[in-house]
Amino acid sequence: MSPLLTVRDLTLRLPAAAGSFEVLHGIGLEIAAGECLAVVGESGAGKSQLIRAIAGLSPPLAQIQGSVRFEDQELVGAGPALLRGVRGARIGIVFQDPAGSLAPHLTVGRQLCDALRAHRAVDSRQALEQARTALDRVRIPSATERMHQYPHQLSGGLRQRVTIAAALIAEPALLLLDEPTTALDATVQQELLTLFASLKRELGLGMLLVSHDLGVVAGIADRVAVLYAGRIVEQGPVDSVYRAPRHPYTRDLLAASPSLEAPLDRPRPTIAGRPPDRARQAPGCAYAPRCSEVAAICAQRPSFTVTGARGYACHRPLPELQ
Amino acid sequence: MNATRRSLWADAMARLTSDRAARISLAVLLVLALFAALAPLAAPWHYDQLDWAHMAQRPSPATGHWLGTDRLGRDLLVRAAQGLRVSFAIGILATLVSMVIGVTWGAVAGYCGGRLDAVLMRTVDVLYSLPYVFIVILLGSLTDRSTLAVFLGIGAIGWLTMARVVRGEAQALRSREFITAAIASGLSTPQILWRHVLPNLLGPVLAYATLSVPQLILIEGFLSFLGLGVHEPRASLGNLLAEGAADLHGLPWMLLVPGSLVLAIVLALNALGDALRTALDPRRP
Repeated sequence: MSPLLTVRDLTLRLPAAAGSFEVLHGIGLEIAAGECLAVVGESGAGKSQLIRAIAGLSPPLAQIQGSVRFEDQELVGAGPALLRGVRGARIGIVFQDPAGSLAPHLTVGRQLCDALRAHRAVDSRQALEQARTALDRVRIPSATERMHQYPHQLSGGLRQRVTIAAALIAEPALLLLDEPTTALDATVQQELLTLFASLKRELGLGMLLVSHDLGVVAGIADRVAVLYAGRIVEQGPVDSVYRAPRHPYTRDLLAASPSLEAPLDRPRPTIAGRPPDRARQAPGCAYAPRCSEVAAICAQRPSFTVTGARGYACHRPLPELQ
Repeated sequence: MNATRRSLWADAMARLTSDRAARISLAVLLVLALFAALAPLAAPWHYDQLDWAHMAQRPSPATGHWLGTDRLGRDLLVRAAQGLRVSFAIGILATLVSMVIGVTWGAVAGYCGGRLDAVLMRTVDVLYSLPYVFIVILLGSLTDRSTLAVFLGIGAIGWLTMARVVRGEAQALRSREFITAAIASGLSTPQILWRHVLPNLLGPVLAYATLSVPQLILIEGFLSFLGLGVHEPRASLGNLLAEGAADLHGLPWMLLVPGSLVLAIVLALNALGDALRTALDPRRP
């Protein structure tokens, strides 16, 4: 089966004060129907820009190279009409901040109907009916009452459910999630993760989840790609990457994530240094200045090595398990 | 549950009427409107009728001229009401003209940005630099000095500032996340402008419009003063003020009456504009 979404060698440059700088470089991803790929990385790694680049929502002056193929259509360089037909209809997007991404002046029902009627020729009664179904689908209780409410009358968790309902109302094949649980508290976060998992199962959705939270990723993703300074440094099935990371950055990132078992009296390990200044990129491995395994060869850029389901970009990979 | 089902308009009206300043301004405007509509019908005088027995009469109920008369013996109460009618009509019509053109122009420029924005806003800059008195004279002479031409001429000036105000607001809206979300759900640019940009411009636009009504009334007064606006014997607040200013020492009520009417309108509309802006913000409780 051919994958739903294939990203090949995607490079994104954004204009800066002097010239432009590379936000994403040579990104390659594949997502099949019913599969969830998570992209993890620190802030500034280019996660949100990746989602926007895939959906054609990059800023007007961005330069994009490479290819984004979705359902046998090339989206890089596609015209506005094609993109409009794909966005919302075939690709749904959920943004980080549910309060900001709902229009404050329209009721929940109105916004859902608008999102549906952008793609389907339905009359307003059918649209309302489907909007109600969409709210049921994301497990919003007393959906009929909610339809008449404004976003500011809902809690943060409910708002995010509404944006998910809006993203799903035209029955897309792919859902792009830009840190969908970051703005929410831990219990609501857990509920939404359960919801995503069941939506993936019930609707056979392909999902691209962007997050900095490795716990969230472990909960729902099948595969994970680790993004560092605009490049994918490691990719593979979640279980195997978490158990035996090959790239030192992945190992350090996993070690730095909070855990309930870790003793409280010892400080949590952190990654020394800062992510590189993106405007001035060194020629070698971007992680070298912070890496404990660094050697002379790291002054050259490592290529991406693929072995089986796993892949990494490192000259001195950590040993495979067993 | 009933409260949550109310529409945004009902909510806004409820907030508006719970504001004391807004209630007072609405009452003042209503009284002025009733006065303008009814006084000329009820009074025994006509606005251009001369009362030979009472010329330059100070206000007194005994003579039947409650607000006095001018040097020609015309009743000031009726003339003030007549002037209010003309000034209200000019203020409101010219504001409507400037709203329609200015909002469309500014919203498109601010939301679309880029080259279109540059072209639209440079046009505004160029028109700004033309002296509007010249435009009104031109319009007036082309249309044989009709009052409608004055309306249109004043409206044509007003929209320039409206376009700038709206463009700034639309530009700020463009970077809001719900606009990105609307693009992401596949809505077209006209749909987004109509559904998301325009309703969110309503607050600032209404606030600015209520402020521009008195401004346009004053411009009309200025034009009438120059002899370009409404002509004698018809009255507008503008030419009443001009007449009154000329006779400040002899007949002070000639200035005081239209002056206090203009003051009342300006204060009431300013307070109302302010209250409207707060009331139309849906995020308020």
